[in-house]
Amino acid sequence: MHNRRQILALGAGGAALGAVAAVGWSGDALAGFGLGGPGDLANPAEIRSEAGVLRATLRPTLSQALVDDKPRKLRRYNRGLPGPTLRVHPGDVMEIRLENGLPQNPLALPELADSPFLSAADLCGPQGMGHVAPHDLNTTNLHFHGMHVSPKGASDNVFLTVEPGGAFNYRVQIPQNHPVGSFWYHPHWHGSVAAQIGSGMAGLILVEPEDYLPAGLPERQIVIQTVIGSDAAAFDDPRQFMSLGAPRIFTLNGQYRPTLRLRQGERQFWRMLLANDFQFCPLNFKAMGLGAILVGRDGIPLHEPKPVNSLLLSPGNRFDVVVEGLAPGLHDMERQPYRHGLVDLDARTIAQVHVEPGGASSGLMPAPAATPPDITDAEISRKRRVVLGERKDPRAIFDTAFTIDGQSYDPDTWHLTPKLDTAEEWTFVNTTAYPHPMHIHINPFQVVAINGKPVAERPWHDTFVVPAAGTLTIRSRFEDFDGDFVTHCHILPHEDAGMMMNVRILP
Amino acid sequence: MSLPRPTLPALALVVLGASPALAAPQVDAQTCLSCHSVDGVAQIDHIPIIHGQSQTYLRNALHAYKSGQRSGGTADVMQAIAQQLSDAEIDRLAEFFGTEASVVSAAPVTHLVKASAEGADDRLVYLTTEEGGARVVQSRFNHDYFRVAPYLESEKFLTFCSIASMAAVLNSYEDAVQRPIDPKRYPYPYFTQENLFNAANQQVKSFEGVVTDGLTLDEIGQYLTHLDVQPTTVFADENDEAQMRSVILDGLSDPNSRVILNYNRGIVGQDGEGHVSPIAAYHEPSDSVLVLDVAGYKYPPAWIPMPLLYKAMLDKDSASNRSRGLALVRTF
Repeated sequence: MHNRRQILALGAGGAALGAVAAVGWSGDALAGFGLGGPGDLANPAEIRSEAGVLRATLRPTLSQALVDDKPRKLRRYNRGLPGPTLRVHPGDVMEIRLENGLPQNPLALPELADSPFLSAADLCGPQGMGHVAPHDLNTTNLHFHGMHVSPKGASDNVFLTVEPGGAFNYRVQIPQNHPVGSFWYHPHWHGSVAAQIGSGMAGLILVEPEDYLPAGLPERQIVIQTVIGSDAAAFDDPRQFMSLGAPRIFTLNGQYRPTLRLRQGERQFWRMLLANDFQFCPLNFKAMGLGAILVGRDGIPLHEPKPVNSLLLSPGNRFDVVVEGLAPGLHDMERQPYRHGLVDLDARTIAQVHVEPGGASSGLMPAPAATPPDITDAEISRKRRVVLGERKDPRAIFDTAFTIDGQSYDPDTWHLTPKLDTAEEWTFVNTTAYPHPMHIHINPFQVVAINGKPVAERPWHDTFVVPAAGTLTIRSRFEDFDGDFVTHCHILPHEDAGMMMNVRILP
Repeated sequence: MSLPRPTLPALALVVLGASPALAAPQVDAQTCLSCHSVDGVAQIDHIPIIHGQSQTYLRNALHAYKSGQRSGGTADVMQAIAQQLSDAEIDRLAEFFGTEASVVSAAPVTHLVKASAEGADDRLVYLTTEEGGARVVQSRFNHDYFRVAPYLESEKFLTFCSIASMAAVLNSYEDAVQRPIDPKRYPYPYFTQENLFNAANQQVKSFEGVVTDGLTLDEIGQYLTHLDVQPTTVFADENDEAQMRSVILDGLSDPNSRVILNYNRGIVGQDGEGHVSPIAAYHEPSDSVLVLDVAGYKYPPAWIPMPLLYKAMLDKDSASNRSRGLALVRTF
């Protein structure tokens, strides 16, 4: 029988300090409250910064992992699903060595050279075949999703290429004023993004000051992933992973339909990340027998924490939520039904929440943290319209390529060129019948209107859905870092099929 | 050696020699239908139904979007699309959606079906009668019935008889032809009345062109060449009745062949004119041909006497100024 006191003792005794905490225990203070004990979902392995420096090696390999009941061949960091959580402070430096342990890319077909559809300008990457279809699935690099860091050099530079057998040393200086919250890392090489993230290459990054979490508030990291459940080769076959209809297995921290336990009245701090490439994941806390207080969205703290009943997780979103056990019993955690443009996606049970009787409310919350000031009308130096579309293109899977401002990704196009230390208002206009969660690198944005209707709260995000045949208006302030990065749809098969565009912040 | 899979679809099109016109703007009726829906049912809450709207209204609305007079909120979506349209294209789309042809609906002709099926016109024997079923069992040329009938779907538009016939015939080859994977039916390969419109076929006649006018026998042949099979078109005015019968029997006898019929159904006593449907069997004692009608909402499949069918094939198609006939389909 599960015994909280025993787990407390074990957790305290096994408190692993130093760089790497043991798998299954979230760390000294937190394991004390029993997370990851028998019958409870464990947090991912964790690597922490020491004396201002986080040192980690991330090594993706293609290897077998047990997902639900079957072994599947997946691309994963350090053989984990997900990769290790990185915990850092504002002002720290992340020194991350990325060693590409994936197999060599298969050679491209020689016929490609003669294809009337492909010109030299279409080819990207050493074996690549164009900007509208997946290719070179074992070429990789790193992106620090949502982080406000430099896009240049060895920092959050998604134009870098790390080939199989190669390695690269990233050095990411986190500014002192970096927002406090949840971020994540994942590969971002145009052409292999969907296949790599979709099969598991992702991990949390938690940025917070030393005293952020009060003792007594257990932190539960929940990394939701959606690997394909058909066969081992699914993630090497774009026709499989490019389809909304592909059978997906939802996992939490790599576990299929795990149980999350807490006492009635007990509070836990949930760091939720939808680390996937396609499926949306609306969640309803009330239906899980939980009360929920939202603390931060996409790594940006709210001005005031606020109670919520439900949240829509789009691919790439993070939500920091304090939950409290309300209704004793075993409740399903359901991916709620979602209308994906023309397609209705059914409810799906992805985990269970076991609220056990007999707890007491701690009333605890993480420490308050700063929210960026609202972007005012007066700050807006320019308004832009960014049109999302699709087109028939025989080079693309299912003949469907995606476009931004009428063109599929072109590495040489630079027409989104805001100036440093200005703010702009962009309206994404979606001319397709499907929703597109748009992500902008480096700087977060405020959602100001959806389908032309003002959003009073103006929430901060770095990824937000543009409704099917609708519009999303956002404002962003381009601070601290000039340089080149991208904006793209975080339905990553759409990104690989061309729905990405360069952004250049002019000094 | 394992080859990168993403290249395969591209190569398939190279083989087909599809048009390299990739850069042209691609707003056509299909673009509109992706949000405004094929069947006139609203799929996305704020999207209006445009089928059967007044042409003048549609034209004015598109111009108002294009000029920016209508903008803000979701109007920005139509503005982005209308800005890609020339005035001529606006006229064409307004005309297209302003006609009944753009609306998919079941024609209210059930009374006709009843009248015919009950033998009011005794020249035809419907499959749904006792005699009709018995002929299938007696027929020595009935294999295509069992191959093709399971894949028969009614035409999606009143003008899509050729498209629905080709889809049924191509699906009847199952894995012997490379069938496209339709995202909605993933991961099962299947020909649909949409994915027959690949780039090469759109060059022959566009989607909205087929919705408006259908396909001629010659165009059916061109479509089939772009779909991984080998068609032979046989025109009735170049062959006598015996030769046409022999082509039908050849097709029905060969497991790798199928026969698509182009005829004037008015001549065989049915309501309507030019029509296309697969042929499924031949019955020697009655010298009649079983036609799997793809307008299943009008008539069930019918046994048509060969002399009558020959007259119906001799009819001149005003669109091509030629007679009708047969398309014999073979796999490579």
